[in-house]
Amino acid sequence: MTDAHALAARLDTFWEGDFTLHAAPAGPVTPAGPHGAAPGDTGAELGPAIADLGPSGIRVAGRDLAVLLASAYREMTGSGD
Amino acid sequence: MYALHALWQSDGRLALWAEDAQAYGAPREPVGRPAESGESGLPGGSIVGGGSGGSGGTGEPGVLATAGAPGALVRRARKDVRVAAHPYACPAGFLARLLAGIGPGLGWLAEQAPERWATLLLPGLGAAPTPSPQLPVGAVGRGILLSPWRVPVLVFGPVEAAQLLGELFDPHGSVATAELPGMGAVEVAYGASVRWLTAVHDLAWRLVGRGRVLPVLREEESGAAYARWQPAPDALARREAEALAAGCPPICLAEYRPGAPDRTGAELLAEVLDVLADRETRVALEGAPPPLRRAPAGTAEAWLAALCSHSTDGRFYDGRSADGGSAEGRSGGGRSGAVADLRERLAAWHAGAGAPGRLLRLCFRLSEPLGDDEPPGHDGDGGPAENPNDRAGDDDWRLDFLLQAVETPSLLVTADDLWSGGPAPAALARQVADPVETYTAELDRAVLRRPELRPALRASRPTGLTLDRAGALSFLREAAPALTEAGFGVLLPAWWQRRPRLGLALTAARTPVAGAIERTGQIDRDAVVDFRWAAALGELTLTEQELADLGAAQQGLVRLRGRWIEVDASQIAAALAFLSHRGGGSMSTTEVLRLALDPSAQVAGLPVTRVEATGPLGALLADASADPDATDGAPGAVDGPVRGGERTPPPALPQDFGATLRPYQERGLAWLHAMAQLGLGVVLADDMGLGKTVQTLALLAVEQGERAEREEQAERAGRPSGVPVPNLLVCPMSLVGNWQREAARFAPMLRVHVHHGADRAEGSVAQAVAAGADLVITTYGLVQRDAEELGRISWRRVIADEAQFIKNAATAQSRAVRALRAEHRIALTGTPVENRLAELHAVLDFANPGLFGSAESFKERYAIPVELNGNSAATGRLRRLAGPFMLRRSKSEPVIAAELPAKQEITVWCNLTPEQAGLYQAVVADLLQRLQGVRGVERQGAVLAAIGRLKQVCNHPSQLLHDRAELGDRSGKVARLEEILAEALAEGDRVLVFTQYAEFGRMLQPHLVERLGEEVLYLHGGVPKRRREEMVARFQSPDGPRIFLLSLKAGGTGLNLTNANHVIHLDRWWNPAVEDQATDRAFRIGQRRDVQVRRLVCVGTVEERIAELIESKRALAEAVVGEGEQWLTDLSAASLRELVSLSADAIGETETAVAVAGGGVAGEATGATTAGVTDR
Repeated sequence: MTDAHALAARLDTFWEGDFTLHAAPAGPVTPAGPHGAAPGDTGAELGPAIADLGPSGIRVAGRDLAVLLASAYREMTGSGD
Repeated sequence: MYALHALWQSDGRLALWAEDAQAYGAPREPVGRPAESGESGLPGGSIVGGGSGGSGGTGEPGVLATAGAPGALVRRARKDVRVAAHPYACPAGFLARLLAGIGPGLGWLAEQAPERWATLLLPGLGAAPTPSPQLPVGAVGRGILLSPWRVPVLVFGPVEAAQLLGELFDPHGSVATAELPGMGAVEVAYGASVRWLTAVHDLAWRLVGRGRVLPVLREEESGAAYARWQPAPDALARREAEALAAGCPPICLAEYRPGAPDRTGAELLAEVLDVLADRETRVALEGAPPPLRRAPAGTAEAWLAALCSHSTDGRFYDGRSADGGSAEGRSGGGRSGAVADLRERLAAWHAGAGAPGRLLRLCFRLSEPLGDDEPPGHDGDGGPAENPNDRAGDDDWRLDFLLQAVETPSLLVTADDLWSGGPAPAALARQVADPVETYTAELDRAVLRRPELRPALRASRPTGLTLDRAGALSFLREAAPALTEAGFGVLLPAWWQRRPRLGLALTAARTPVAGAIERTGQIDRDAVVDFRWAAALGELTLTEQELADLGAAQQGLVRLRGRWIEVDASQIAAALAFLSHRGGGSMSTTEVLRLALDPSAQVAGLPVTRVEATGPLGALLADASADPDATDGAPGAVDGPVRGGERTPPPALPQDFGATLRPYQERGLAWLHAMAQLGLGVVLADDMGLGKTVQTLALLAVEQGERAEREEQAERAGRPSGVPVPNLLVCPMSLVGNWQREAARFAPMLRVHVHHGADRAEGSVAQAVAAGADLVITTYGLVQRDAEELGRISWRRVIADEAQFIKNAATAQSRAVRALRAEHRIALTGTPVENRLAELHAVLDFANPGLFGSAESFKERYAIPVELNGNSAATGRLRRLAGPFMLRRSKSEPVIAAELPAKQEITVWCNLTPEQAGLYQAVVADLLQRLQGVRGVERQGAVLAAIGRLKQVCNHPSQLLHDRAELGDRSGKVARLEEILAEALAEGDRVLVFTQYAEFGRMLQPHLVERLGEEVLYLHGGVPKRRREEMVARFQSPDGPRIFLLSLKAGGTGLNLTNANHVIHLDRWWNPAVEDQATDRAFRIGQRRDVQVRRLVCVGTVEERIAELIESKRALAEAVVGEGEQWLTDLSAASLRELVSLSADAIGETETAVAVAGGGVAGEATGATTAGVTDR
């Protein structure tokens, strides 16, 4: 885990990073997170990843996996209520 | 004040540690735990070993120094040096109290965390680490070194780490206050490492909240399998992740692990995001109803249950469980196979085929290592080979990523160019708004499909991967096809597409036999040749050393003589084993030919890649291998490519040969002649009407001329001229007359003996041969019946006409023909395959006995794959196998059609059956008797009536006798008609059949329907107009009947029947104009094909004599016969007798001697040698 030379080249900023912590967005209401911020991003966000896919063709307990996982995605996105 | 720092360790756990600002003023004694650390407490490292380091060393004992960036040095602890503890780091226990002071949640988590040590590379000055900027200790001066320091840490597993980072997340501030018992409130500054990890966690958490995760199956090397949720960021999240990776604080990457591979911010981000997204998904699903409401059964259910479980790490298979009782365990592959299968199916599902209508796609380009292709001193031709594993640089394969326009695949931009911007990406920007975004999305999709691409994501701006040989081979074999299937572009080295397989090359040379005279230029299929096998890769013949070196190679990809090859250890072992035991010896020429001609031939499980030979055999093989690869055609299409013999100049025909060959016939003659000179049998399978007969006769004429020349030379040299060797032609009875007449017409120089007839004399064939006959014509029936006599003669050649007669190799007739001894064999057939490919084997096997293997093996290798499975590859193999020995041209081939006249007129010679001959003789005798003393009109009437009756006899006895009996096999002309029709139908053609006798037509129609199994239209004068139009329309329709029988009067004029490309005139009207008018029903405007016109003429009858008269004196004939047959009545008695009398060669049938009133014709039907027949 050590790129000593790379690190040595960055001694001036060794303890620093260049990033931003995102505060809660003002966009669409999404479930509250553990730190009170609403998940979600700005701009053209896509829906659940599974929505990009069609049926899986994988049968589990007699049903297509995509169908079985639909409720899990509803739980994640808070759209199950 | 304290500074809190975090480290995501390489073991996948989170470590927290802290600095104490006050300690920088008064370094604390090292903390006592963990006890096993062996910690000395001396800043800068206590020295256990001795000696100074390498160049640039600091001079401090036990510490190595190397040059880093300008002005900076890196200290590295020697292996035998214990790293010192950080003097200003907080003890882990204190850290736990500090966290508890910030909040109860953190306190609870800290209680769960074990206390450990972590070693980090930290900046220092002199012999002490410098403080982080979060502490108000003061600025750091110059001369900073990076040194390893051990710090006490609290370690959190993924579950707790996710929770902890969520607790520590604070976008609004970086300092917390902790209430410590006995100390009051203290400030805790969150270092950049802590804040960065909380940012990554926040991203993971938000991804989960939007459902941007996908379920995957991960396997460890141990075989353990896990159900995991994997981040599936969209473009926005991907940009955020890229920014986080780029802004990763160096302290996050400071874990000290000497010798471990480098780690980048992108790699760390990917790893942390992966773990945290999985954890947060499980948190989100906690309490949700499980997808399965029963205990999981089978791999997929176990995986799904583990995926949705909150309390596990997702492992559902430990890699060792036999699970033999499950259905999967009992099936092939067992549980591990089911795991791999599920992983592949999930990957395929995730990767999909890309978004429909997408304009750009990711493309992979694999490049082999550049470098010295040839080892020094290697001559490239069997010289010493270097060890294929020893060449440096052969593991530097490069897999480049590119973005490719789907519609314009040549528009390719490398990822390097994409990231750097510039004109190339601008071209892609016209296709999509953000090519980089498309690229990263595609790369994510590819990684989902092929996890081995994941290492590319370690780079913040991935451009490709470096692969070793094993990785390259894996990509070539497995990843490339899968990526192609998933819709990605894949560019592979050209050699991979045509990489040679290891095979065996055979070299054969004629074995000299003491005392034996070798016939130069001729292949003796029964001769024995010496052979030697060698291993070969494509056209490269490998030396034994090279093969042994390849056998020693452990890598799948090896560079040999500058070319990359794929090594299959089992194949090399098989080659070594085979060559050591059976590398040389002797075998028959037939076996050599068989190996050379069979493209799927294998020896010891290895393909035979090449067969070379010396002498004429070598010439033939070179010719065959020079043939262009035939394209795979429809099953059953076995036409061969252009044969070498066709390209050689045709031999000169004797001057008195009676025909001028068309160009394609000259090519056929050249091929026949070349193959005959090689001693190899052939199948001439041209379409009907293309002149198989004239080509064969041309060959015989050429050989006769060559033989005569040799005899002359021998005579001049005073040497014996040798024993004449005749040709035997075997044909159906119905064709004897045709061959006889055509031989006389085209090859008058041939001395022809016809062996047939009931009174053929015992030994007549031997006598004819002894007398110098060049060609003996006989029938299939007689070959069987006179097998003993014919078998005593050594024939120069046996020609089997209508060779489909011997397609059933098991019949006595076929066996008798095959048993004849001959130097050379020719099979003539227009339909080499009538029903089954087994027939083709029978014909090929007649021409070259044994060369094509047994009928059983032929059936297994070709007939079944082609006929039952429609296997085009097998069809191609069969074509290449038979190609050199079979010449088949179709009249529809443009090059052939261009050489054919639009209207081809053919006289078809037919023999009478004994019954017909007897009747014919009776009519003649009756006529001649009637004419005695008769004059005038009465004489004319008698002559015309007799001519009419003779023509009826030539058609069929029933026509004369009106006996209402079945037509059966009583007419040679009808038999020949059936053969012609069958052949035309087999070629997909349509036929008009004209007769001037409506009564004969009525008899013929049901007979043809029965014999051919086809509908036969019949138009005569009694057909009403509406019905007549309907018949014409049906015949002209694409799916209509293919044979149209017409009476000359009813159908000879006015009809448009251009669907026909054959016209047959069954009987002669003696008036060319009448026949031409009938012919013009087909040969007229609207006809798009060449038309073949056949006139059936009975040999030795009035039909032949009048036909001769018409042909030889056409102008006169047109004048005198213009009014039909009236002119015949004015002939003198002598002329009339000559005209109508039956010649000896008229009869074809020999089975039954028919005694009829007026003449015992059977007695006249004896064999005859018709040497020097010239005036035909």
